[in-house]
Amino acid sequence: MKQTQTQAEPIPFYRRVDEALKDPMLQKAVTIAQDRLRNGRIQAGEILGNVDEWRKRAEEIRRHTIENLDSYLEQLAANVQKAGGKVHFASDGDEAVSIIKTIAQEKQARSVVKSKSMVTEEIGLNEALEEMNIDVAETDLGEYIIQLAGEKPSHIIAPAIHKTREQVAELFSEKGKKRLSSETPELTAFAREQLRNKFINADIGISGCNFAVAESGSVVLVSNEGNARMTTTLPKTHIAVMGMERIAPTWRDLDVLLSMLVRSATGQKISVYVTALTGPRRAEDADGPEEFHLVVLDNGRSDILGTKYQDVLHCIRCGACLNVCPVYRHIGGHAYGGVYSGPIGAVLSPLLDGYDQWGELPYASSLCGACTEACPVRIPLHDLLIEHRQDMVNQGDAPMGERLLMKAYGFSTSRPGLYEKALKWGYRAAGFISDGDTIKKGPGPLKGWTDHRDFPRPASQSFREWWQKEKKGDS
Amino acid sequence: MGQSTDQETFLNRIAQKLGRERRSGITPPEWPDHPYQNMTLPVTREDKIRHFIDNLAALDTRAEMISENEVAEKILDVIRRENVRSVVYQDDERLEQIGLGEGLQRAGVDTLKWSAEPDSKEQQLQNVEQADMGVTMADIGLAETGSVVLFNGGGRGRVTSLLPPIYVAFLEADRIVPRITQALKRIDEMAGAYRENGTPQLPSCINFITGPSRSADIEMDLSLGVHGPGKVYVFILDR
Ligand code: SF4
Repeated sequence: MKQTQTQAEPIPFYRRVDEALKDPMLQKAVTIAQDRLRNGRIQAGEILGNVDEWRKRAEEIRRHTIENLDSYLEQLAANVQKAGGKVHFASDGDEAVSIIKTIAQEKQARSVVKSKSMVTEEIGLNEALEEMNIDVAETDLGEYIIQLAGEKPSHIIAPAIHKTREQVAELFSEKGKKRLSSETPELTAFAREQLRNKFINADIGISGCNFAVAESGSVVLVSNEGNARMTTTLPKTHIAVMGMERIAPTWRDLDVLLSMLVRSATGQKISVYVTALTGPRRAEDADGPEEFHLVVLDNGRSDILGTKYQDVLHCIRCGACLNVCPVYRHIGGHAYGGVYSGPIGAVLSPLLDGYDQWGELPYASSLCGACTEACPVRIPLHDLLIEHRQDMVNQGDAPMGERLLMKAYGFSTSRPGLYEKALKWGYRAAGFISDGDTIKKGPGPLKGWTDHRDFPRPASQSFREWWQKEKKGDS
Repeated sequence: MGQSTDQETFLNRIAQKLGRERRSGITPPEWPDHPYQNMTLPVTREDKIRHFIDNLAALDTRAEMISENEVAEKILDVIRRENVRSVVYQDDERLEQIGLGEGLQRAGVDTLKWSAEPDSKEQQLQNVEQADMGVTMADIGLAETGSVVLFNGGGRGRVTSLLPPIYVAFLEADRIVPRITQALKRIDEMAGAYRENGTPQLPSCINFITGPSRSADIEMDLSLGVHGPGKVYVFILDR
């Protein structure tokens, strides 16, 4: 088992999109969130002034790290152990789940609290622990909401953006067996109270890992609510699960990566909490977990190394590419079907699980390039989407119409030049502004490029029209 | 322990996929310049303090410069304003030195010193959880963001700044640096010492705290205090 995808009965991609397009609430919610997060990022970038230099440095750091990943993982593991922690390597999701289950058994755990972690979604950890009759509580407010709803995150940063406050009030009222209003303070207070009890009583806290600093064996967690601090402070055992690529070699490197992550994710200059954990509590410490475990997960990532897709491992999961994507804007996160949505999901999911399962995703893009421009570590996302399409064409997997188009437009040959241009235009999410159903082309210097680039969907078309055609493969 | 993969197998696979020999002991590059060198950051003490205060104000958080003999009076202010009845504080000499204990006594609130003493931790934790306000010293302040940095370890526990709904930090003015860069550099040096002599120099937990706990998970509507403290006060000690 690799990525555990969560639908019992997989719904075809086209159906998921059709369903999303029929949901006006969803579109309203996604639009508001996208605009808020995107504008925040752009403003934060302006404050930095020289944001392109930051992006370049962030990219250099990520590239160096991934190219030397074996060395840094070795250093990380040694330092975690020196600080009194245990390190476990897991080749796939099954292994990671089994490692965590074994720890849970040893601790005779009955309850687990979790702070937001995409990678544990990826390995289906909650389901596995629940099968052992362990009570699992997601503690990020957004994650808590979707856990109650029995759904999956629809956005890397804001997992419950597809839910309206009325829907949240409904869920919480049912849970608390009392009628709650849909006012934010009342809903927040309810969640706080419910989750406080969980934190105090939990046997194990499970977190993700935003960055692991190799030079000291520290796991760095970023959170605004404080649930990551609770999760890693109160239970006697802390397990951090990290995708193997999430390393910062030094604290100096962390400076750049952290500055970019938070600004790109929410537009804040820094998150409310940045917490760096080095091993378990020491003998002289007043609090903190007695045991610390770090689970390092491969789960298909190493297969991306050494391929033309390697840059995707530079991703720091900021969600900026989702916030500028016109397709994400219209279909929301769930339509992508996997754990990772938006442009990063469209590039990553097929790599982790193959084209059979996720072959449609690279087509869920207008190739407008806004994602590439937004990405703080400069992953050429839309180029990689084109590579996917090309690879599928070569493997004979692509729809007929698409195969012809790829030839006619000669995408692969025009690629490098276009990418350089995209870089020159810099960080501003210039121009790809969606007004309702029509996605406009970029103004100014982007114009010529987009005329060429967004061939499947001329500007005069509505998203729906474009989608209908794309679906039939007869643009 | 579970069916984990042996470390060497795991790392060798990475090397093989990267199409080269296995690497070990790589030295991280010294980057020639730093992007923040072009930022306009405060340099003078006054500017750093002003930025720190302004940036917290933008997060609805009050930071205020006080002299050491005002500590008791200021803490009493907060206690009255927020209707505080119980206070937990870190087992930290520096807090005693500035006269916190005395101030709390004068205010007549229940107090608890959260220390590393092991007796009945569970009961104590309940008390921290019930406390209205937590007080700590901060080790570094960041002007660019209004953050306080706490090296948690020993008696300087983690929960004091986390569980109570109100959090008060004391910070010496001279400990305010322009931005996170200087704080991370210091941690980097501590980590370097760690590498050289093998004894852990980093505390088990370092926290950067910037204003009150916040969430925007319900329709992007801001709410404070969802898990951590919803109110934060920072007193900058002018010494
Ligand atoms: S691909 Fe880039 S923009 Fe998208 S989540 Fe990753 S780092 Fe952020």
